[in-house]
Amino acid sequence: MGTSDLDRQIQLLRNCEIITEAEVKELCYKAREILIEESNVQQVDAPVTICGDIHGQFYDLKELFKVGGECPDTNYLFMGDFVDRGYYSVETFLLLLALKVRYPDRITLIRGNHESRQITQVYGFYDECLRKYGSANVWRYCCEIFDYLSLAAIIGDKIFCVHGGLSPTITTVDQIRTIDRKQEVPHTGGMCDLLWSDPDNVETWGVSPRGAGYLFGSQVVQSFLQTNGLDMIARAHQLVMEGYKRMFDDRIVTVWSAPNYCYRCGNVAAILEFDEHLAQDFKIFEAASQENRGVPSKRPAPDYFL
Amino acid sequence: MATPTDKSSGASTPTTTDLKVPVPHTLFQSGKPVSDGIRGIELQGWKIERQVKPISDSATIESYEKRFGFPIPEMIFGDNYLSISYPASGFQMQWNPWDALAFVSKDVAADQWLKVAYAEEWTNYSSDSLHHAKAPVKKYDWTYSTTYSGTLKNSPYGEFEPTEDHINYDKLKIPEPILFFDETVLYEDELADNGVSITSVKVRFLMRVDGVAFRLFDTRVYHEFGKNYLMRECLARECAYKDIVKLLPKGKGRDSSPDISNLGDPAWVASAIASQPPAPETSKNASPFVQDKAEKLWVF
Repeated sequence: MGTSDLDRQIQLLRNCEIITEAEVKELCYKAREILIEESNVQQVDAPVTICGDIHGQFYDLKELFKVGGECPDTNYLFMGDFVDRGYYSVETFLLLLALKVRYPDRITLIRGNHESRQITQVYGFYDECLRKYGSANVWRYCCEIFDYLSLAAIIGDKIFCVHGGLSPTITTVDQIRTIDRKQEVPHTGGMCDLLWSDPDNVETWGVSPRGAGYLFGSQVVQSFLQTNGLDMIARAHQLVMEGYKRMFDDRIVTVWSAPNYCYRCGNVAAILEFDEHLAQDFKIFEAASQENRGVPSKRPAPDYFL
Repeated sequence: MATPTDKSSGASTPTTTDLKVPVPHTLFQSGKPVSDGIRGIELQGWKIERQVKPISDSATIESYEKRFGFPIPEMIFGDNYLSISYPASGFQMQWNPWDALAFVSKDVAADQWLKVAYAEEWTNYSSDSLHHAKAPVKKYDWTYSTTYSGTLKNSPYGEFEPTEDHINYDKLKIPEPILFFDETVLYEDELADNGVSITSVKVRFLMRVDGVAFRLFDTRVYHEFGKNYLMRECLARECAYKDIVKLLPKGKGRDSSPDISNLGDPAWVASAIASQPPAPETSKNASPFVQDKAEKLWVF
């Protein structure tokens, strides 16, 4: 697959058109060659713009690029949850993956809890692949790639980026580096926690009332940063009306990049730009307008309530 | 006060058939009615109105978290409501998310504590190898199951009272034109990707914990023109995940495995759950999610 082929595919995907199954297979093969060389904790240089959950909201991803600049002009770090929920998970993930293959040093993709075989079968990506390609092959190729995505990233040795949060099994960044990440997201253990946990107003660790999943408090964040010589944690994973939310004296920030989440929440989205000195600047954006979105307005169909 | 002789189940009630079809009515709306505004209908002295707005901001969420003592659902539409009023008598009933959350249990009995499908695996792992994990932080009902059936804002003739009457379903089955329809979500939580919990006013509460359980709490408010009261029926069901999965139609895939996409369709799930018999009340702490009840309230 030559660069011109790839550029043509990127052009198609930017127009929200799908590429062929054979092209997806080839693209995933190329992507794997790149991702396999990446560390569990990718080193990323500033300036960089970091983004939270996208969830298949393709036209809103286009808004994100309008606000943040196109790749490769802007260096991007996406913190996972590319797929599920929205109507265009296929186009969203394949565009990001094609950009990764075309400009490997200008875009970093780390894994979210939705980049998983089990979750995508429940929340839409699997069904979308079946609908758009008539078979589960494209879903299967993508899931293989999910297993190769990095688990975290560090910007300029100071900003730790991860989809969910911290784990009680992990006190140093080096411990993350020793995880064998090339697998389905497990239900337990450090790799699971990095993709699933949430900050909360607990002192140290809490367990979710659901019976699984950790909550971590300000002391945990403080000691993780201190131990590893870091300044701040940036993460995604939780919906915020304002697009971002700082906690624990600005030691952790949640970035949410899916405006009008699920096409009905009415929230704004944010991306966070770090300049070469790691100075921070949030860019807020709204959902693509109805006419640019290609999705019929969501008014429930009248129905007898029997 | 009306006499209890006015059975709503009889087919001989003349009043509704005397009305012109469709019933004269006025529709109204303001703002952007799909995403940020009010819609409603006025007819026969009644006013039905709903508001939809974006999810609540962080400051509002934090203040309610303090009040309730548990985390607020991820998608909380704090300004959304549905209201039904009869201005001539001052009667007003409303559904709003905050009053619905007030019915979420803060202290769930151990035998009714739902856990996610992999909780046992998770607990064994985390306690054996770590000792970091203590008891759950807050023992609230994280599924946000609610038995909310509406708030009486102003009710000149008192409260709903139990009745032997029932909503006349035969009448509801007549395909009359639908003059006004909406579904207003009060809150929704994805249960951290372990399922979904939705409280919407058609009025319906629906909850699914993947691999574990479903719950349904339907409230139906019914009025027949010519009567001077409202009927309210609540139907609550809780059933095992596997019992509902059995009812799934075959999917389109080559292996003809069940089409689980139906589990994301509230209408399908609600009808599947409602088709299940109520479970026998064996537990001492009988679940509020197993009941059928009918009530009546005089409005004017």
